[in-house]
Amino acid sequence: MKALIIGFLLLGLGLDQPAIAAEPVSNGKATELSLHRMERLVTLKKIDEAFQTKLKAVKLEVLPHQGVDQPAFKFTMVQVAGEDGSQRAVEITLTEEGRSLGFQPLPGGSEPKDAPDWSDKDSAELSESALHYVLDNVSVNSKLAPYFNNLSQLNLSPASGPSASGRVACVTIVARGDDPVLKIFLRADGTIESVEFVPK
Amino acid sequence: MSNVFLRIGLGCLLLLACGYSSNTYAETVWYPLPPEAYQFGKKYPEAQNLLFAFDYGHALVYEELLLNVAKIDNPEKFEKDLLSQIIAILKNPPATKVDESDIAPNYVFTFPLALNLLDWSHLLHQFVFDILVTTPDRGDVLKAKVGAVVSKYKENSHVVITDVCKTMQYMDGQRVSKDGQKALKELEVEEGARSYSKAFRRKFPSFNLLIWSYHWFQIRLYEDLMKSTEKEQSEAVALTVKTFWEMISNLPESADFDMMPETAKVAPGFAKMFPKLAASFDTNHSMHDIISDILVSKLVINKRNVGMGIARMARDPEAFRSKECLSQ
Repeated sequence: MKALIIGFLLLGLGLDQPAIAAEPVSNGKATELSLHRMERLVTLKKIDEAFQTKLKAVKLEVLPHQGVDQPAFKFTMVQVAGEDGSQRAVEITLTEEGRSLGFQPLPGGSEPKDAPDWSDKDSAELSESALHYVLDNVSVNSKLAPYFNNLSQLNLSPASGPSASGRVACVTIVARGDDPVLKIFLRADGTIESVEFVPK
Repeated sequence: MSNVFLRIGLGCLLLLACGYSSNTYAETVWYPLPPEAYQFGKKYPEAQNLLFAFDYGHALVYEELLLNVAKIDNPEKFEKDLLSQIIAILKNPPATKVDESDIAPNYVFTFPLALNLLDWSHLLHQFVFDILVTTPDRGDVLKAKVGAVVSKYKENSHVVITDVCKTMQYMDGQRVSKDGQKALKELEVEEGARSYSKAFRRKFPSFNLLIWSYHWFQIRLYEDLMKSTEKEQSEAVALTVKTFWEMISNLPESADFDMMPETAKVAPGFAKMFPKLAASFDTNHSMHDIISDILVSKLVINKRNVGMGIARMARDPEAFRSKECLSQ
């Protein structure tokens, strides 16, 4: 309830600010913005810090909406599973322009167990680094367009397999439809080691 | 004869010294002032005085952090106490630009190059406000006048912030250098993350959001002044002042920023007409944020050296160069 009240309070403040004509944002951009919102919520101690450090997945649902002030994107940010297999999660909603409307911690879930110990960037920052690869390169690489436009899920896991160039993490990005899964391998500092397209 | 050689030798040394100093030091004195200088303040004194107060507020926070950060055991209380002082300054702002060396001598000593870059860039910010408020044209005449102050700004090349835009990694991806890592090892600081970015916003979210509100205010004014009539301009500036006060009324909740405000988003019309200025102003604001991180992070041992490094990056068009940039 408290989270809902804060969400509405923030919505009220947002509406008070001078209107600037903004464009609707893509799924990929909205996902990046949802990570920024999550980071703010962690910094202000509104949600558990493990969402920043032990994030496992981000799931996106595009909502039918009619106005620029209505929820257009609903994100579910999910932590690494606990001992009983359940996961803590929080929902974050954004408008079509990427403005935050509110957040709602979901009931249940247990404390993450055996979460990877990322040595440099945390899990949310690694996820964001992978998203930046898509956002920064889509204009020169059309193969990235499905993930920019139709991203539906992002997963973070430790990278498997040998690598001489220090890859530690793999961010898997899934788009709606038949497009292959995009796997982005990252080093500990968030730089991109390699990219693969794997058929579904 | 040997006396002649001695004189020639001394002359050469003097010339070399002059040449050397011109490469390492640059005064941030804008002379002569542009004819429009400080007209913005005559028309919008409240907004102008807030801008002067921001410099005061920045310097006060930085000096306090530089002197006391290691001793702060309750960051929330420290923020609250200092915020009340800063709000009092914002409510009773100075009517002229303050000299930061009077308020924050240690900060000025620790970040000499960064501060020179910021001072020089702030003059450009100011004169663009002054031109926008005194020039009715919103086309070629305006562009020519702004172009003239930009040319003058660029003449002082040692303190010019690049107008090639940078990725957010400039602000959010700063890491401890090899020398810094060696120093940490000598101090037996445990292994782990070596990025010092975001240290400030995580430890002092209210200060950070206050500074982002300053940045929002400054760039939003550009958009306001792009309006074509005086009446529209005045209404827009009044709304921006009002919104600024709402933003800082209940920090950190009241400033609803997830990221540093960027000129292209807050002032899209201004950024479209002056994309290079937008890039340069964003780098100015990013550098403020990096200085904040340097001040707060325990990972940065030699703050003066690291500060010099980030200032050089601000000048360098290739450092953290972005592929997505309106100005390219």
